Amino acid sequence: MSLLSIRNLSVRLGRGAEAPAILEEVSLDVMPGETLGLVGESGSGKSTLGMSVLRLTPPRLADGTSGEILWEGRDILKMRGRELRGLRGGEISMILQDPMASLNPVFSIGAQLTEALRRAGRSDLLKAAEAALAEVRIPSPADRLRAYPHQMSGGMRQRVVSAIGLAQEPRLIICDEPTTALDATIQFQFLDLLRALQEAHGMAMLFVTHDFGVVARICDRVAVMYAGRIVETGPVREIFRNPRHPYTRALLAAVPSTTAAPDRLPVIEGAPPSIGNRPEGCAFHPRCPLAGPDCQRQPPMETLAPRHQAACWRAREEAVA
Amino acid sequence: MQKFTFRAALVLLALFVLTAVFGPYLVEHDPLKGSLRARLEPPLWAGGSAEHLLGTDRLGRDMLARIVSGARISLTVCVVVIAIAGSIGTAIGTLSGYVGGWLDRILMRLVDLALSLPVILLALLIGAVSGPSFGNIVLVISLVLWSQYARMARGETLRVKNEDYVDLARTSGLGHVRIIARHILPNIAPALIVVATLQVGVVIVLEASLSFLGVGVPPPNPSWGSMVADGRSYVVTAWWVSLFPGIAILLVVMAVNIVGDALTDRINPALRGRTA
Amino acid sequence: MSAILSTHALGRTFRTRGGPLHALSDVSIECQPHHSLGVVGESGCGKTTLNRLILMLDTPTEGEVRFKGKPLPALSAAERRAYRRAVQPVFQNPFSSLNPRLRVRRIIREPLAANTEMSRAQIDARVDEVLEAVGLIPRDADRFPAEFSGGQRQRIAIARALASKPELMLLDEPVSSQDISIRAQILNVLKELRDEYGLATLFVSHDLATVRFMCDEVVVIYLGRIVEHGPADLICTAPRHPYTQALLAATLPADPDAPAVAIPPEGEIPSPLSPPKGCAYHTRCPFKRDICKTTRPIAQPAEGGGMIACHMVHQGGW
Repeated sequence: MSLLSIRNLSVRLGRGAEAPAILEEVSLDVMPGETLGLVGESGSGKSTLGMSVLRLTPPRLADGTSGEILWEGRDILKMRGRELRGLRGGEISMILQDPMASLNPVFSIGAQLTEALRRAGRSDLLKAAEAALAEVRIPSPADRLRAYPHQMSGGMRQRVVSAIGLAQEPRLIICDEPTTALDATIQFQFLDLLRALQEAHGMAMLFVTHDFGVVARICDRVAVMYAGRIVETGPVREIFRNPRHPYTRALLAAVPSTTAAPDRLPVIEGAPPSIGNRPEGCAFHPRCPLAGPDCQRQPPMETLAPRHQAACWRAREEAVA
Repeated sequence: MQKFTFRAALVLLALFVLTAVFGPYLVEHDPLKGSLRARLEPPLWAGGSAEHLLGTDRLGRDMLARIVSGARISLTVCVVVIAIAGSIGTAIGTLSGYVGGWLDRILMRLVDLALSLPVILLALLIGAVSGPSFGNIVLVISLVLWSQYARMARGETLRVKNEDYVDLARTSGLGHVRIIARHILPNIAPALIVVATLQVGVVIVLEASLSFLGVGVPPPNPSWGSMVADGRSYVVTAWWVSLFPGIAILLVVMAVNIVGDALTDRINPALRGRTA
Repeated sequence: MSAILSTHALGRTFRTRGGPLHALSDVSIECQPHHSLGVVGESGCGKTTLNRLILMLDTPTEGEVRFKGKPLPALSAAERRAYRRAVQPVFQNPFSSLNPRLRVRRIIREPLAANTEMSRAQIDARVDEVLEAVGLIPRDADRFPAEFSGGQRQRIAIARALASKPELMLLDEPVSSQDISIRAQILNVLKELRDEYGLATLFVSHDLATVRFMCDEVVVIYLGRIVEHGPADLICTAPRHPYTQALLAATLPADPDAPAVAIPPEGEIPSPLSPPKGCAYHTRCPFKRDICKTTRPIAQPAEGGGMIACHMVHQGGW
C-alpha cells in the first residue's frame, strides 16, 4: 500500500496538451519508510516534481497541471486551503537546497524551532527544542537555541531545517538537493544523519539529486528522469548493476571515479533539450546510440523485473559494447 | 502590466517628443505675443472661436501655441538636466564603487549631502539672488538629481566588479580606464537608463513647481508650470488657463512613469541574471 | 628552474575586523611543463586566494610566486606580458566569466590585443582556430554569450584561454556547476587540448574523482596549508593524511556496493578566522595525539612520493 502515489502528472506552461511540458505523464509510488531517489540533469523536471507534491510550484503552472497526486487516497491536487496547509510541514515536510531560504534570518533558531513544535502540539517547548537539536547532532544545543541562522555554517543550518521539518513527525520528507551546496565531508555527515533520522522515525523520503554517489549511498530505489519523463525506475542495486535505459547507462558511465583514470570519459553528444524543444517520441533518441526509426514514438514504461521498469524499445537488449 | 497601457503610454510619450520638436513650427499663433482684445477667451467648445482652439490667457496669448512651446521647454530642461546630472552622477558613482575605500566613503557622504538639500528652498534662494533664468533651474534640479545616478551607478559597479569577467580583464593586464570603459560602463548602463527614464517625470514636475513659484523659467516663456501659476487668479472664471497646462503635465509624467516601470521590469530580470 | 609556475612558502593574511585571517600559509607548489597538478580542498581552504595570487589579482603577504624562476614583482613589463600569455585561467561560473555586452570575438580578442603584437587579421584567424578546437564553429564568434548554454559558454571561456597559446591553464572548478553529461564533455575537451597542445594544467577542485581523471599529481589543502602531496592515483585511492582520507570517504562513488567507510569524516570545518592551534585538522581527526594540539606538523617526504604533514604518520602511526 503506497504512501504517495503520483499518477500521470503533467505540468505544462499553459493550458492544453500542446503547451511546453515541464513534466509529462509522470507516475511513481513511494512506499512507507523507503527512500526514493529522483535523479536527472537540467530540464529533467526533477525539482518541479518534488515541489509539485505539496503544490509549491509557481502559481502560473497551476493551470497546466493535470493528473493525480494521491496521499493515502486523497488527491493533493484537489485539496483545499486548510487541508493542504495541514499537510505541509505536517505529514509531509520539505528540505530545500538553500537553508538560508528556509530559515528566517531575523529570528533565532530557537524561536523558529519552538514555533514548529508548538504547531505540532508539543508542550515544554524549550526542552523539546533542545532535544530536537541534539537529535540532529548539533553540539551544545542549549546554547544554539539563541543563535541566529547567519551565525551557523551551511551544514548546521541544514540540520536545523531538518529538525524543524521533523517537528510534526512527518510520514514523508521531500528533499530537493539538500546537500548540493555543502562541502563533501559535511554532505557525508548530513546524509548519515538523514539515514539515522529515517530509521528512528520511520518516515519515507523522496530525494531529488543530480549526484549518483548520493543515490548510491542513501536511496533504496531510484527513478531516472529525462526531459520531463521518468525513463527508468527500480531498486538502486539493480539500476546501478544492470541499467536498461541507454540514458541511464550513459549517465552512469560519464561519472569519473577515484579508483580508475581512463583516458577519456564516455560522453553523450549534445545536451539535454530545453523545455519546449523536446524531440518527437522518445526525447533521448537524438542522442542515443541505440536509436532506431521506432523511437519516433514514445515508448511506454515496460516492466523488466520486479519493480524495475524502463521506457525504451530496446530495454531488453544488451548494452552496446 | 497591461500591454495596452504600455502602448498607450509609449504613444503619448512619442506625441510629447514630436510636439516638442516640431510643434512650434506648426502652430499659427505666436506663443509670446498676445492681443489684449482677445484676452481670456474660452476654448472652442465652451463658447470660444476656432481662432483659438484652447482659448487664450490673460494677455491674449493663444493657449495651444503656448502649450506646444511649453512642451519644448519641458523637454529641453529634461534633456539638459539628465545629461548633466546623469554624467556627473554616473562618474561619481562609478568611481566610488570601483575605487572603494576612503574615496567611496567621502563621495557617498557627498551624496547624502545632496539628498538632504531642500530643493524648493534652494531654488528660491538662488532665484532671489540672481533672478529666474534657464541656467538657474537647470543648475538647481541637477544639483538635486545627480545623487540618484551616483547611488545606482555605485551599486551596479559593485555588482559588476565582482563578476569574473572583470577579474579576467585585470588578469589580462588591462588598465583601470579600459576596464571601466569596456566592462563596467556598458553593463551598468541599462540600470542608469531606467533611472533617467523615471527621472523625466520628476524633472518636469520640479521645473513646473519652480516656475510656478516664479524662480524657474522666466516669463514670458511658456513653461507649463508658470502657465499654471498665471491662471491662479482666474481658476473659477477662466479655468482653461491653468487646467490645460496642468493636464499636459499630468499626462506626460504618467506616461513617463508607466514606460519607466515597464523598462525596469524588463531590465531587472536581466540584471538579476540567469535561471539556475 | 624548469617549472613554469611555482610558489614558495606563499602566504596571504587578511586583516579583518575579527582579527587576522590566514587564508593561505606556507604553500609551495610547482607546475612543470606538460604536467598536471591538482589542488584539492573544501570551503575555506584558500584555493580561491591561491588562484588570485597566481593571477596577480592580489599580492602575497608572505612568500612569492615565481614565473620560470623569477618572482612576479621582479618581472619587467615585457616579462609580465609573457606571463599573462603563458598562464591562462578558466573560472567556475560560465555565466560570470563572459561580458554579456561583448560579442564572443571581442571577448577572445581582448587578451590577445593586450599581450601580443598580433595584427587584427591574425587575431581573427586565431579566434576561428580556437573556437573550432573547443568544438564550436567560427560563426559563433559573432554572437553574444546569452545565446549559448552553460556548457557552451564554458567552451568559449576555454577558447579564450587557449588563444594566447599558453603554457599553463589554471582551471578553477571548471565543471562543478555543470550537468553530469556536460561535465564529461568538457573534461574530455580539456584533456584533448592538453594532450594536443602540450599544456600544463593547475586544476583546482573539491572533487577527488575529477582530479584523479585530470591530474598526475595532487596537493591537498586544509585551512590554507598543504597537508599532503603525492601522485594522483595514490592520493585518490590510499591517502595517508587523515583529512584526505575523510575527503576520500566523502567522495561518494556511484556504486551501492562500495565498501563501508571505515573512518567517516567528523566535525565542522573551522573558520579560517580562528584556526585550531597546532595541527589545524586535530579538532576533527580520529587519530589525534597530544602533540597535535600544540605543535604544527612539518611537511616531510612520504612513502610513494610526495610529502605529508602529520604527526601520526611521522611517528610511524600506521
